[in-house]
Parts: sequence; C-alpha cells; structure tokens
Amino acid sequence: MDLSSILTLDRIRVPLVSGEKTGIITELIDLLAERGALRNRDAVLEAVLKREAERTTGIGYGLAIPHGKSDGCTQLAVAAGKPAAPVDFQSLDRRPVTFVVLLVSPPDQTGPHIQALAKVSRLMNIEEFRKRVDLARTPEELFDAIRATEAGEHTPR
Amino acid sequence: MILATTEFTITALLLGTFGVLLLTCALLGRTVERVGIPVVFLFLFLGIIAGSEGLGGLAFDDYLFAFRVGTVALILILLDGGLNTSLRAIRQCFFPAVVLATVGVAATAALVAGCGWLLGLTWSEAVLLGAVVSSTDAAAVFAVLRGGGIRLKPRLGATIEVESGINDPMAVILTVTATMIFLGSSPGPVQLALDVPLQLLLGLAIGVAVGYSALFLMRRVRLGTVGFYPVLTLGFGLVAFGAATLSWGSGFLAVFAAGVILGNGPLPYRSGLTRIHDALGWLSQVTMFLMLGLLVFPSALMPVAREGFVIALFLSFVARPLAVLVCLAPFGFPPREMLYIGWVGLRGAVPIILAMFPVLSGVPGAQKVFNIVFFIVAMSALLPGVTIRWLTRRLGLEAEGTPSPPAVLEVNSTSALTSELISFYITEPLAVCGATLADIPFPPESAVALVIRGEDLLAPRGTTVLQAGDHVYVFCRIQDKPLIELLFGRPQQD
Repeated sequence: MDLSSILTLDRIRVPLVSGEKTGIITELIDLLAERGALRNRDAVLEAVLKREAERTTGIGYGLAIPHGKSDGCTQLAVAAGKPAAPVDFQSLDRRPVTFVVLLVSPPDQTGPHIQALAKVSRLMNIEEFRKRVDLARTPEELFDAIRATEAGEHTPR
Repeated sequence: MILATTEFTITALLLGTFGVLLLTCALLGRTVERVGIPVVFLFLFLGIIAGSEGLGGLAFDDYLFAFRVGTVALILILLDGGLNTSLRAIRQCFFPAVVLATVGVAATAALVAGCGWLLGLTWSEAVLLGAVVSSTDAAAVFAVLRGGGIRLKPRLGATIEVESGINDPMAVILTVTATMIFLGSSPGPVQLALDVPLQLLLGLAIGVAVGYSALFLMRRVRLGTVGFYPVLTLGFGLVAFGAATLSWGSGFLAVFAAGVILGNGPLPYRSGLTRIHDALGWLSQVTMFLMLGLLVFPSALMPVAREGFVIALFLSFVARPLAVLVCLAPFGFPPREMLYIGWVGLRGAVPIILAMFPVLSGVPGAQKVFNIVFFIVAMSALLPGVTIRWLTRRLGLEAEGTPSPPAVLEVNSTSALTSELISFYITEPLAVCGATLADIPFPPESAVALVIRGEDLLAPRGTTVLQAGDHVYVFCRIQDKPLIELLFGRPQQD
C-alpha cells in the first residue's frame, strides 16, 4: 500500500497553524473532518490522544505518526502537515518534529492500519525523501516528494 | 591439636547459627513483607535474641571486625545500587537528587544534632549522631513497595533511588570529618568547606574512570567460565573503592559511580550478573542488621531509650521532611511528592556501619551514639515501613504502569548484541491490538518471540490475534526499534 494512494493533496497542510503537539493532532483531525472523512470527529480525536498517551509516536528523524482506531471514521484516512517551526513531540530520539502524518481507521481494519504505519515509517528511512520533505514549502511540494519517492521505489534498479 | 579442634567447633557453631538465622529470615520474609515491615528488621531482633543477653548467648563485641565487614557490606550494597540505577533515572532527577544527597543530608544531620543537644547530649555526641543517621536507603523502600506490588511514578521513584545512592558517601564524609574533629585533628574551616566537594568529585571521577575501563575490558576479554564475570565486576568495585579512598576521594561514591557506568553499559551476562549482585547486596543488608542486633546490649539500651525514641520521632516527623522541603521546593515538586519523599527516608544498614567508626576511633560518647542509632534505625524501618503502601495509594503516587509479565524471557550473551528482546504490554489503543501476527509488517530479522496471555504461554503463529492484556516479547534489531515501538507502544523495560 502506498501513502500516495491513501493521501490526497487536500488533506495536506503546509505550514500548520498550530505550534504544539495536541494542537497539531487536533488541526489534522479537523482537516479530515472538513473533507468529510470522519463520522465523529470527537471520538477520533480521543482515540488518537489515547494512543499518544501510551507512547510518543515521534519515532525519530523529525517524523511523528499520531494514529488511532475509532468507530468515528468509516475507512482508513490520512492527513499530513509540516509545522512552521520544529515542535516538541517527546520523540524517541529527543529531536523536535518537522513532519506529521496522522492516520486513523475503523477498529476492524487493523491490518491496513498497521501496513500504512509501517509504510510511512519506512519512507522516512530514505535519505533523499527526508531531504525533499525538509525542503517542501507547500502542500504540493510535500505531495510530490511522497509520490516521487514511492514511484522511485517501484522502478527496478 | 586440641586448639585446632576447638577452633573448628567454634567456627562451625557460628556459621551454623548464622545459617539458621538466614533461613529463618528468608522463610519469614514473605509474610513480614506482606505486612510492610522490611525483612531486615527481623534480623535485628534475631541478632538481639542470639546475642549475649538473649537466648543465644553469643558474645560479640568486636567492633573492628564488625566495621571491616560493614565496609565490605556497604561496598556491595552501593555496587548493587549503582548497577540497578539507570542513566535515564539519573537524568530525570539529577539536580533534585544531588541537592537532596548533599544539602539535604547536611541539613538533616544539623537538625538531628540540634535535637540531640537539646535532649542533653554533648555537642560531640549530637553532631556524630546527626552525621551517622543522615543518609537514607532506597533498597528498603523498594523492597516494601515490591512486596505490595506497587510501582512509584517514574520521577518520584527515580529521585528516591538516585538520592539514596549518592547520599551514603556524603554521610560517610560527614561522619569521618566529625570524628576527626572530635579527636582533635581538625583541619581549618576553609579547608573543610573545600574538602567535601573535592572528595565527592574525586570519588566520582575515579568511579567513572574505573567503570569505563571495566566496560572496555569486559567487551574485549572473553573469560573461560561464566562464573568469573561477577568476580570481575566485584573486583572492579573494590578497585574503585581502593583507588578513590587512597587518593583522598570518596571511595563509596566511586563504587556507586562505577556500578552505574557498568550497569548502563553493554554488560555480558547482564541478568545473571545483576542477580548475583542483588543477592550480595541483600546478604550485606541482613548481615549488618544481624550484627547490629548482636552488638547492642538491651541493658545498655534502656538508659538512652528516651533520647532514642524522641530523636527517632524527630527525624521521621521533622528533620527529614523539613530538609526535603527545603531542597525540593525550588524544583517545583508537588507538595504531596515532597511529603512522600520526606516520609520514606528509611534508614538502612549504613548508619549502623557509620556508628561503629567513632566507637573504633575512641571518640568519647561514641558508644552512647551507637545505642541511640539502634532506636533510630529500628523506628525508621517500622514507622514508614508499615505506612508506606497505604500512603502511596492515599497520595495517588502509584504509577499507572502495566503489570509485569508472569514469565520472563531473556537472552544471555557474552558479547554486546545488535538485536534486542523487548517485552510489551498490549492495550486497546495500540495499533497491533486486535491484529493477527501475520498482519504485522515486521522488518527483516524481527519477529514476535512469545505471547503471554494470562497464565498461558502461546507459541506465536501467523493466525495468533493479539489481545489487550497480552504480554508480547518482540525480537528486533536495535535500528528497527522505532517502528516496533510505533506499533507496540512502550517497552516494559523503560
């Protein structure tokens, strides 16, 4: 499963308005809600914050992937954004976060949910991708970075 | 020939008695711990009963021997404490713990000394008493908490633990300095003020150096027998103590520091090593309490009973809480946590060992101080010991942590590993909860090694569905840990 196949340009915000962890999570969930992707915005927010309380989703390299399972959404939904300035997420490597991908799904879609999480985290292991994300100043540039990297992954070397 | 036989008999009798005492204590330990009394307390009474005025009639008043054993015991206790103190805990509470262990210890000592003086002790007796009882013992606190299945909030637990590791050296320095002063070999006040931090810094530096050398060596040298590894760590602990003390640094701080460096490094056979040092630490604790029991004579206790009780109460209710308040208020600790840290200042084996030093050095009144210390150690084990679980729950300081798994899986290795075996506790919000193992996109070289559900051990299969409440052991390479934690949440070892 590719991130570019489940993420759309209108669900990306660069830069994000909020400058702190909970604010960013709320902002991205609201973005999904505005696009009609959620049935119950509050339930989804609660699920994501609950997961975040278990352990930070800031997994290093400046990436955070807040996520959660809730009946408040009908299918796997993804939103992404970059804060105007690096944000503290209590990340595993203690570095601030510059790129946030939010991922929510109904409880009965655990498989795709996990696949998507792994997919995003693996993208970040690609140095070229990290550079392009770092340079992206608009939703379009960010979306292009994701698409191009994933397209490159599929072409045989 | 006759001499040899009697010597054998006496040794056999002594060791046999010691063995019976150890057995009694270990067997009663669980019952006693359930009530909340530290096990060591039992040893104190066994010591008295076995002693010359008790049923056993063992005549033991060899302070020199006891002091030497005590020094070894303290080294073992601190080495074990260091090995079990994570750098994460130290980072979490470094400054509060350091202030508690230095300023806090000095303030406690001063307050106790003042109280003692008001009760009619001479100045030298009062000051010595204050210095001797000024440090706390985390091992006793955690033993009582473990007995009740309670885990403290991380920063609170770390503060108590780290403080107690580094406050013993401070108490040692205070006691030795006070003893020197009362023996008339007093250095000037300026030199004195410089001396304490200097000893601590030297001890720290030497301990850290020994710790790193030990790690370096243990990574490169392969020993033929597994049994030699604890001998090696023990050796390094003693070297740290010796080197630091001979260079006029704090030997005890050096031992603790070396232990911390070793414990946080890539140790071969870690679990086996820490278990052995744990056992040595406990053996040292109980030995010291037994010895205290043997050394005190009930008839000599009675004359100081009034001072003993009053000072013990003063220490528990006034001196320690006040010192903690003064030290921690600037760090913005919540009042209930300060109250708690103030209350759980259990006194362990250290005051017993320290109280012997002035007796040995022949400071006037030192014997009286030793007898008063008995009351303080006994009371401080009883008072906070019995109330600590109730208080922890009452103040809501219990960590909302996850239960520990009913079975433990671990990898033992001689060399540093590039992979880790990590245990996770599955809760509902986690991504993997409700997933089959086949759903989880593990990186290469990673897999679930074991699933523990209730009392059952499940062999992981692709069709196994992870449920809330499961304990899961995941084997993965260190560089894949972030992804694993993203899916599985917080490792239980953290």
